[in-house]
Amino acid sequence: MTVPLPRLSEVVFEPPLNPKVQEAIDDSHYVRSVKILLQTKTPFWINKGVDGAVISDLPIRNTYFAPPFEGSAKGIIIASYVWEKDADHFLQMSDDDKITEAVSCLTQIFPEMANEFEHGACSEWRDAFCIFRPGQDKYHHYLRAEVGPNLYLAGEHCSVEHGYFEGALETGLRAAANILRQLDPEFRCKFDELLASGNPQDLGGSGCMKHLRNKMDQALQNQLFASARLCWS
Amino acid sequence: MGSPYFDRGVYGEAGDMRFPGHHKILIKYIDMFKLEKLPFPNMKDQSSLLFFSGETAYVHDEMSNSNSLLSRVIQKWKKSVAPIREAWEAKTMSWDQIIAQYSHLSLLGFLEQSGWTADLIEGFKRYGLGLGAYESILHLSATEILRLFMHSYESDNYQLKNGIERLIDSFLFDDAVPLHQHLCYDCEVTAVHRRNGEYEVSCTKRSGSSFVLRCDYLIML
Repeated sequence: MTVPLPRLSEVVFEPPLNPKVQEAIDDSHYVRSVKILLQTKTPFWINKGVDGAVISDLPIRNTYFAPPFEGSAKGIIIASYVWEKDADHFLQMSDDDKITEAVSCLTQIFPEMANEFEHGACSEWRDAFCIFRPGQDKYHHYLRAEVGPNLYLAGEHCSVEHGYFEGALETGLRAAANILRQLDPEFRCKFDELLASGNPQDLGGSGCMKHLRNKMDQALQNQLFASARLCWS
Repeated sequence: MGSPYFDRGVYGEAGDMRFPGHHKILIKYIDMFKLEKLPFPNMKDQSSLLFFSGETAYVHDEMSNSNSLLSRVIQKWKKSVAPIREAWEAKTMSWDQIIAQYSHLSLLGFLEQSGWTADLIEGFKRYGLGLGAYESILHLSATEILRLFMHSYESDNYQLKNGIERLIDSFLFDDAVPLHQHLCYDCEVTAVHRRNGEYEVSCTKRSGSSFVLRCDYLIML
């Protein structure tokens, strides 16, 4: 099941979840975000000695440039990547208006943009990813545990790596390992040590991955998981 | 995001566009699927611009001037987080202890507690720390930003060549286990009931039809 917390908050659980878990689900803060992407005739910025980022006081705020493409002379600019109140400015606009404003802003910095622009696209999220407000770190404890009998949450919102693939992967593996632990009483992978160490970012260490992979392989041979093999094949 | 939004052969990262080098699990999957990662520029000294009040400045010019606002912001940040970083790296302070000490603070609160002057805070809002302007996130937890900078996040970022969708496709369309055949898109989970030792997950499709999945174990991702 793939359900971010704002949607999970609307799901009816019977029996109800622990109130602390439910509070963590209901209250964890998600950021609003907008990204505006523009295609140009050429990656003209390279000839100007620019390929890092542009930070500005214009509504677009943060601009990044895609690396050159093999087999195409076109360029792509992430004209704007903004969060929270900076995103609110764009969230009330149509995509066409977002693109028009982004082109207008970039033309102030790069006058050639007016002729270089070809077309654009936008993505926006009212609930892009989880970033805690002050005092919400305590929610990690409730979101990472077994929230009901044989019921686990996973996803970036359950990890310390909010907003990243890493958090989704780590918590997904952790949930799978927890189920393995239940299915195999002898199962004691390095997750336990990592939980005790308080440094979950070491989860990707080779010893842990190798050990977990071996246990996953055993589980697959016993057909405990249908699709976990993909992760380890 | 590629075709049909853009011409064939080009793409733009509409979602997750960068990841730090310490994300070991992700990098293991990237290697496993034989994908290629490239440096993500963020705000590189040599080729990044600042554009404020209609004036353009190269970051490297600002950084070479120790009295510039950008230089002073970055130096002040390094000085503010140095004791935390050193204690964490020396393992004299665990992440849980850092959380206990700083979780109650917003990012703005952390700056104020660390003795930032008004002009430095204004610079922090404008420039961020190489990732982009930070004005819009000052209300969020200080620990979220501290965590990033424990790992030199500002200077050690990567992107996936040909887009992060390559990674998702690798998961979905692996020849050994074609996961995409087992996925059901555009469904909304409406209820989770536990009956007789198993879960019943009620789902509604966008078309309006509904169905129930049953399982012994459930991971909600």
